[in-house]
Amino acid sequence: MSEPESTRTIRTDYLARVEGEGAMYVRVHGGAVRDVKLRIYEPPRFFEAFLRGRAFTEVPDITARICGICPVAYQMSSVRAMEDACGVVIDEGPIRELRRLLYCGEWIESHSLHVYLLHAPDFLGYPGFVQMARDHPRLAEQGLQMKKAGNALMTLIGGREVHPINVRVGGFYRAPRRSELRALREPLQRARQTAQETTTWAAGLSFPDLVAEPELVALREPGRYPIDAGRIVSDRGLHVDPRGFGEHFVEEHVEHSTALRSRLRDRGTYLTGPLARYNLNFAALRPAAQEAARDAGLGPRCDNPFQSIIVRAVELVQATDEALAIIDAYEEPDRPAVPVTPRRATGYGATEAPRGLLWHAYAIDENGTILDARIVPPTAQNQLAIEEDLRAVVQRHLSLPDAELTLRCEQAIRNHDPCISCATHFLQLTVDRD
Amino acid sequence: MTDPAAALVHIIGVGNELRGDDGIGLEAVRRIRAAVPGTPPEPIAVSARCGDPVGLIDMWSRAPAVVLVDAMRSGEPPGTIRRFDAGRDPLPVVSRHSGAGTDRLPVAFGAAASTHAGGLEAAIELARVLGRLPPRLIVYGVEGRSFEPGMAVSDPVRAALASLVRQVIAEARRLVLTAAAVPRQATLRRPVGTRASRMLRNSRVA
Repeated sequence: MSEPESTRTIRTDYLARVEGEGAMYVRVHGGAVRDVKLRIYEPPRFFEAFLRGRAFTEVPDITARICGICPVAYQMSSVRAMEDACGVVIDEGPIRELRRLLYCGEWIESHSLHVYLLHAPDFLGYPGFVQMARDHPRLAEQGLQMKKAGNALMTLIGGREVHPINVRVGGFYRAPRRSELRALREPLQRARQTAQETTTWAAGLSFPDLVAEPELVALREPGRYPIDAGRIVSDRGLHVDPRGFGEHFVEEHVEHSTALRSRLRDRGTYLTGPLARYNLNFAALRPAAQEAARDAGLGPRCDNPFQSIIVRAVELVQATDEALAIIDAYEEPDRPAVPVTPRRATGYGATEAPRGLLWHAYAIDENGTILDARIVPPTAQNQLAIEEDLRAVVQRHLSLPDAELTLRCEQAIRNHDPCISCATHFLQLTVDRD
Repeated sequence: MTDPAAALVHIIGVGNELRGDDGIGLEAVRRIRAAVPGTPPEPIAVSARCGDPVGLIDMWSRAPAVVLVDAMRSGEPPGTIRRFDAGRDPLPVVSRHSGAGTDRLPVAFGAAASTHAGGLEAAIELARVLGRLPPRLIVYGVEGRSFEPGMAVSDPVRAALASLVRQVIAEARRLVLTAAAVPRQATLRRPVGTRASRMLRNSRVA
């Protein structure tokens, strides 16, 4: 273990085979954290260039390929932005409900992967889910069962399990039949039950102290927990339409990351994701989700990023319960999509990916050819907030041996379920002594 | 196309076609689909999979024998094809959470998908722990050269495609023939043997 006056370097270099996809570097000197750098993998930059010159109708299929875990988020932000450009609004009716239902499937899939298989091992003291599953097979099976329920929604509405192909600008290529949806009720009811149990289980874990300092940013829509639409709000008074994102949020390039980091203009670091959604929209949670939160001893505000595992479990209750409600009320639409005619304009779309706000903007010409594209993914937005967490965690736990401190850092990164969750398993620690 | 739930052998191509050579598994199953009728009497199902590898566990629970095809990096020349009996032994991948100096992987599978939920080997080992491996699980790895976003499958890797497709189809047909012998070493909880034997008798592949 190092002395306070020595220099400690905590570094993770993701494997050479995926250079630059995600890495962490922390330098401690003289008993204080001097430097924290998180390098993240960010495929959207390539896609922005790739999209130029393509037809506006191609965005949902192309952007779905950005992420194997949250393709629906990319599809939904992109089609909303294109519809915005073309002057089409789909804010109610069966097409909107189907979009929410599909998105619920993605939340269920993504959150259950993270809660049960990626984050739980940190709390239970295992290096990974394989080792955890040996001692806690039921927990791993619950994760797989929940994921399967999400998969079933994705497969039916999206056309296949990952990278759905049934989403189009204006709606869907095919709307499911009532009977097809009703067949999903039973697995979803079981998933809701599991999510409720999981919320209670998660609340019983032990949580390191940490208070999220950044401004919290999420979508908000009257009467509904934010998933596929809403205005961008914060806990410090921000309240803007997705169109106004560019005025309030700035992206900056930093040397150590291929990604652009976001900050709030003149205000600084902000955080998106489950913690922000929950704190800004507790009242809009469905009664079953509020009840699960209360049973877990979670009030309407949760400020400890380590407790995001409980909030994700609450959101699993929310997503399964809402999916069931949508299925029960579903009326087959007369047609699966509304016509969308291109015009020369710029459109904006923002939705809540499982890991946070995902904002898209597209400029198209009168033929619908894409002239410019901008995609701001949640992990890039959370980069500064994650670095701040790391700084606080390292400072607070300086007395821990290197190996434990490294694990604590990994856990702190995974609090935000970044697209580098696994990359941080490659953490390699070196200690330099002056 | 044969339903995986009704097949004796399920061939699954794994990868991301927008990540250079990581698309080889998907390209292979496209060719295999064209070559294997996929309808009785051929009890072979063919699927593609991108995204997190953990989802494979549900896919492969449907057939008594599974063949996975994925890109890999092991230091061999690009296009090298390697076969692993993953049902018998873990893939030769050093633990990703090993100590200093041992984080080199002799073999790494796939590209970007592994940043989320561990790689193919983690999904296989999770299934092994939970008793959810198919009775036979064979992995074909194809050495990739570049996994850059937006690139096509590189020439040396593409050159291996014909041989890869031949080997995987031959493997699948061998597995169909031996599927009846599977129950003796089955690790799957459900009784696949009866169904496998019945299907084999009904098929004319033999």
